[in-house]
Amino acid sequence: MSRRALLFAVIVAFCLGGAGAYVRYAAQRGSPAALVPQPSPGSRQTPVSDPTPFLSPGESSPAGPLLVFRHTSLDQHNGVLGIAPLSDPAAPRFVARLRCERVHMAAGRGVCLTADRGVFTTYGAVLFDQTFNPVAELPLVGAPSRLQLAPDGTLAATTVFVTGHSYATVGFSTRTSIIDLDTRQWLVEDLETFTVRRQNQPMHAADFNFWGVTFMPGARRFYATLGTGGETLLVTGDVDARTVEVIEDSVECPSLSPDGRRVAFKHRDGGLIGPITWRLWVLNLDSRRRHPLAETRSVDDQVQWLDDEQVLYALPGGAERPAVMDQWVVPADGGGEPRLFLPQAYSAAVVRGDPDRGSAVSLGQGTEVPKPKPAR
Amino acid sequence: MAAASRLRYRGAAPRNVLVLGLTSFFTDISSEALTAVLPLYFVLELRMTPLQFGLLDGLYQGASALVRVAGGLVADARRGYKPVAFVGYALSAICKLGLLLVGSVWAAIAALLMIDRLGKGIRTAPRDALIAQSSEPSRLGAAFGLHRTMDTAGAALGPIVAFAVLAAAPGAYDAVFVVSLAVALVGLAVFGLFVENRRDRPERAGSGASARARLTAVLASRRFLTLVVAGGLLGLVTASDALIYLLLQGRGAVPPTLFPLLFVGTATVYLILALPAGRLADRWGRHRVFLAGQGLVLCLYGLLIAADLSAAGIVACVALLGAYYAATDGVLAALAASILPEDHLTTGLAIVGTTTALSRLLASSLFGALWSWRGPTEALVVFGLGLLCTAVLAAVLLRVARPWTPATAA
Repeated sequence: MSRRALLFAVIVAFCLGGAGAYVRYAAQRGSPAALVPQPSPGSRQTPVSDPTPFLSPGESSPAGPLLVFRHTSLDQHNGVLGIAPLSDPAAPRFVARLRCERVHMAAGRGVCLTADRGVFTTYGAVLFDQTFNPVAELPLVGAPSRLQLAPDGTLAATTVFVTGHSYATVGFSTRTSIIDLDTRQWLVEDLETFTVRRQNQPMHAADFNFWGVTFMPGARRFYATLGTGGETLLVTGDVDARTVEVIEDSVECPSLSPDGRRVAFKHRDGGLIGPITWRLWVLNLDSRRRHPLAETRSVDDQVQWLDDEQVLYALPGGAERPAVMDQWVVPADGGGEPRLFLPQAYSAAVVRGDPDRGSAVSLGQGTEVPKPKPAR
Repeated sequence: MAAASRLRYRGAAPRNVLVLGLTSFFTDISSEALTAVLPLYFVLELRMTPLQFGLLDGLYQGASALVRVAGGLVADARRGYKPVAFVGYALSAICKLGLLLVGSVWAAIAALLMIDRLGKGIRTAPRDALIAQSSEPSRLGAAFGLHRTMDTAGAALGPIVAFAVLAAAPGAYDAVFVVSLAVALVGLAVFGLFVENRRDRPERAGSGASARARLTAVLASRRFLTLVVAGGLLGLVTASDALIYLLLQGRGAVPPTLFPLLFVGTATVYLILALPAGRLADRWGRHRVFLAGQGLVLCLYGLLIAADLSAAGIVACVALLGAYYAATDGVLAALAASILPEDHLTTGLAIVGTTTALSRLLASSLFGALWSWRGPTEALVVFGLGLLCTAVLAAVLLRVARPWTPATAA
């Protein structure tokens, strides 16, 4: 009996000691959040927490379009909001105070969807201004999935997964909401409250799921996906009339081109039991013709338009670094080949500025941190 | 065996039941720590769609339920409750090691989670048989109640352990896997070193019967069959807790930040009431407590139908759900164990468990379909009326059930 107790004590000591040592190792090895620079208490201000101008007035291309993204390297900058001039995306700078699951910006306003991992993980939408200062935060009901701002920066649409929890797994549903960025309040808490019409007939079902909103330029109207009864429908919606209308089927996560004439989307291929795969397609809204793009890998992302000719999307960095996402680019006309655009980046969005206001994005002050090491 | 009488009864709880409870405590910390972070890991780190693993979950649960009967048959045939259960616990521990090694290969993760579920399926019935064999027949309810209390305490602690690890080492999901593996190994050690395999009597000639003969023999008993049918029918009209939480969220406008408290609240009520409910079952009648549990679900449906809920209403719903589990889960096992002959104990327990699990799985789809078709209130009314009728039927059926006499067992 005592020999058994001794053996048990050895096993427990080995298991718990080993686990404790591993947790300590994990905490120190440069895991993402632990190493995001914090102002060191009591000591003099270190350069990383010192608010230095992100781009000083004299610096190159402050007026040019920008790229904002979530940085995905497996180091201290994981999740940090990255900014790069579109002309030179390989020279990113970072905003240490914003760590985003998804990020988007338009006309000097931005939104950062956050996940605060804790005993109860909570999610939020942080609204920030053109100097990357948070101005408001709204709670989200689940893990962030999609985010898109209207080109004029007045509206933002969020999609989150409303998932089950450890004690019980609910299937899967999404909630899509719209934020009024002028009032900094929810304008539409749940898109499922909108009236749905298909071929001029009202459409009803309890399993409506909306996701992947993309706004039309200069109007309070949008495109989005409506999932119901196994179909994924392309709808167009009106924020003020609170209506949506089905216009096409088999379209997921639409993204409207800057000229407003085409929609890039992901098209699901099979996979009822095995992994689902999605191919990238483009739909011409005038002719209603659609064609696949040259990217043959499965892409689960709401693509962004780099310009009117190319789309930008994220892919995982392969089996050895699955949590690292890279941004790729492929021509929108179906030709060409995919090419790596920006490694270690996710949720990249092009910030073009608001043509109506006649000014490009003002960069103002950002909190700069040193450029990260290359990926392992 | 000389130790038998000592083990059979000493103080409040037999030692073997306590040790089994401790095994489940550690095993549940391990598995719930994992399930608490897997959605985050998949959705936010690996960028998978919840749909991709949500679909498989139903399949796994079905497979797990079927394996349970196979595990029961093997355990009965060899009268080896402990070895079979050990294999089940070991499989789940190996799965945690695997998760650490495979990285993000989708098919490999899916296969490992399948193995984890199969391990759970294999071990459940022999473990319950060990509990039943280790306690006095008159105190079966208390024994199962104690076990479920420890089991649920582990399940409630699991997520806390997981997020404590993530707080210490942010983003280090591999550290959660390591801790989960370590705790699973401790559970396995508790089981392997301290649980005694119950084998009071020498093997009988009939213990080597074929699987088919064994199943026929178990189901030939009308009292047992009655219990299986009653449990299955009641399961068919019981909405899963996931659905109840979704309804609560809709009815009572539970703020998203408080949503996880619904799970914690249910688990807390369950673990507090499991032992008292088991004791009450031993004294007042197990079938009565089991039926009273169904009454609690009826009250829950009633509250949910009564439209908008205040904070007190939500608390009441969570308490009712926790009390329902306390009054039914362990009590049903005790009820089954009390009318099953020793020869077929594991097989019978597995059949009851499988029937209940499969019927509840079916109930979830049924409720979901009704919800989609007509709406949540209509689904609740249908399920409520169904439950009322089924409970009345079960009351009539179960009242007849008495302890199994040896004559019918042969």
